Amino acid sequence: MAFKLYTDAACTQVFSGVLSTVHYSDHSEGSLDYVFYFADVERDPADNGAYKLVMLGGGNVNLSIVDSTPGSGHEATEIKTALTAGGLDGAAAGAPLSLGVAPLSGVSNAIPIHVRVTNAVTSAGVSVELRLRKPEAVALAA
Amino acid sequence: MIGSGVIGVGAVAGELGIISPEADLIQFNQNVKFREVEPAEDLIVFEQSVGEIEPAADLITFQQRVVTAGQQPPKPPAAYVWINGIDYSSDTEMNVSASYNEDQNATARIFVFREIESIINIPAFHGKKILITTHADPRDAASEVFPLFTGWIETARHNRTKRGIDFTCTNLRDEQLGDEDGGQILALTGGIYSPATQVEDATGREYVTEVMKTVPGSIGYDRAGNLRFYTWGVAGKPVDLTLTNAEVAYEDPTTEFQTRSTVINRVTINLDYRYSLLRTFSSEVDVYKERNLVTGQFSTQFGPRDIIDYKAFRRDLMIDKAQSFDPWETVSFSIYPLERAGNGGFVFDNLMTSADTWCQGFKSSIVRRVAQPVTESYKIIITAPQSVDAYGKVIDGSEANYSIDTEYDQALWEDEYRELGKFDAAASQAAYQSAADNRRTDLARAFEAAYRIGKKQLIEAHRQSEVGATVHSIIPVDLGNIIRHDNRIVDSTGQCTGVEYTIGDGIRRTNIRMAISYMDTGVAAPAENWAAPVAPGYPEANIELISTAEYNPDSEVRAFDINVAEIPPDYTDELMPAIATTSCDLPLEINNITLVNGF
Repeated sequence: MAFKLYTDAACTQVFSGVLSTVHYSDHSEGSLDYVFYFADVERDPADNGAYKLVMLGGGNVNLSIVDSTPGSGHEATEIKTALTAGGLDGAAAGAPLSLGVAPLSGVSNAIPIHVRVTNAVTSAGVSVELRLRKPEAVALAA
Repeated sequence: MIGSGVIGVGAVAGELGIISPEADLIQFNQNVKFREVEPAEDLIVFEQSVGEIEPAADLITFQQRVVTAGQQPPKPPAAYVWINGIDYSSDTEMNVSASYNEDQNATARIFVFREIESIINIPAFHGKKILITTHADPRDAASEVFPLFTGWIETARHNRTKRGIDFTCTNLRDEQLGDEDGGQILALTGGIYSPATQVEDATGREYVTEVMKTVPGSIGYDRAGNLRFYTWGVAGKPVDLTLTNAEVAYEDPTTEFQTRSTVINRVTINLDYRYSLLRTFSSEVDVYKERNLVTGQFSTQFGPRDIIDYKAFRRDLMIDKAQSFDPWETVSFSIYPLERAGNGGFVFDNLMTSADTWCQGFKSSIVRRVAQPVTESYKIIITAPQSVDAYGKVIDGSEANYSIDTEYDQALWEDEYRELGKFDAAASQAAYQSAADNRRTDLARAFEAAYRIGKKQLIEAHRQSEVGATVHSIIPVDLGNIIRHDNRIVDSTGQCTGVEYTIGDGIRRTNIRMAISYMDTGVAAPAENWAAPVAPGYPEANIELISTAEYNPDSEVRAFDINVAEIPPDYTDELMPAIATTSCDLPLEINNITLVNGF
């Protein structure tokens, strides 16, 4: 049981964890947008916001872009995240996404996570370098 | 004051009286002290939150495939295999299988080629995390990637002939369930746990097993490794997957209806509850001899004269006796004062000069306490009328027997409790009775748990018919999904109880097995009408018994024969009230099926 991503707003389909994208070396595909939903429905089947996720040291719960090979291949700046589709344009590339100080459990409290992938690599190949990471946090009764 | 000098006896004019001077009988010395009641209050309220650490985790892994401009994207691998975070997809022989069955560990098999002459470290793979995924469209690298299996490597065997490693994998369902938080399992499943009907002090995996006995549903982990719980049945649930002629393979679907011998349609539950009834027996011992007791007559020349027994008793001895009825407790007593000797004529009464050291007897109120063991017996009978009609008879399952014992030290009531000195004896007794019967809450929970266990057995016994089908593609389907067959052979809706994925050379196959609850009956589903049996209540605990005391003038010492009441065995032996029986009907879901004998 944990906060995780779902592919639908009703939070019935858990996201597999792998987002597979196809890009062209001339970047002709443009930016690819996706939306997921960050929620914990298992702890809170009654959907009453019974739990909250908070950082151990306080502060916002931030989702961050992690690059396993910074400086080569794909860079974190290829990824933008926002809480709204409209927010993607103005979002800082590679910047963490704040979910607030205490995201709540339950389907009705699911937070839309909009993701934009914009390839910057020009050489052909398959790469798994970038990840959207949830920080260590603690789930408490709300 | 003028009086006779004998309390209770008035002075008669002409008789000798005693003149007492007027005096203060009581001098009241009253001190008024300051008193203010300070109500109880909480000085500190401890608000303690226990949280669960959620470790950092990757929510999205970006798998980016860059294709040279103007070229078609290459066909992606039929499956991706990640072992301990390392991508082995390009090394994996295309023989991948994963299997899911309700309430069992999920398993998977893969084969990984290794470079010729390379060093293979088999133990390095043991217990490593493995993730197998595939594209929804095996030709489209940009199509959704969904998991087929998430688990750990169970065995890794070097296959010398094929120059690689055979892996078998498991999702360690049981082990993982044992690590889940029990409270959250209860919240997720709606199950209950009663140590009376389930294994006592269960923890970990055993606890989850016990909780799931009370829930008509299943729990496990899905393809992505997430905890997944679902209730049995299809009613009110949307269809997740429809299998039409276009989906099912040529030789499918197949059906397997449950065997008659697996059917039960009545479950009987017996539950005994033992506690101690704290009885109080009271009696009165009335020991009295009148001073001028006529015991006979003798003849004289003046006629018959009475033989009078003037005996009186020493007051201190009587006081001792009045309080000496062990194991009975004397709660109060009074002394009959010495009476004046004489029978109309003159009798020299040498005792009256020391009247307060003599008496005529006593009257004692005595009590005795017994903690009587009581066993209340309950019977819950759960019947599925639809099944009884369908199979033409009542078919009993195994009876379930449970018991709850209240552990109570009888000596607390029988020996240590004393009524004397109690400010509110009734309240005190009630508190003791409560302690001797302190598992009523457990009993109420046990009733519900026992009913739920029986209910699940009945539902399970009618959920054994299956429809199976093979689909020649990889479909994301999970145990518990609602499957509808709408094809040339079968028209029915059921619940997925088994999934097998197979990916091989030219093979992408999903075998789906669904369970239906079907029986041939026209009886309408009854309303679920279970209610806990009603407790018989406490028998009367306060009993009055009769004691006797009779003066025996013929005995050598002219004494009393005292017979303190005997407590009848009905009040001491184990008491067993009539069995409280409750019967209830259980509705069963019927999933109609139309089976066509076609091609």
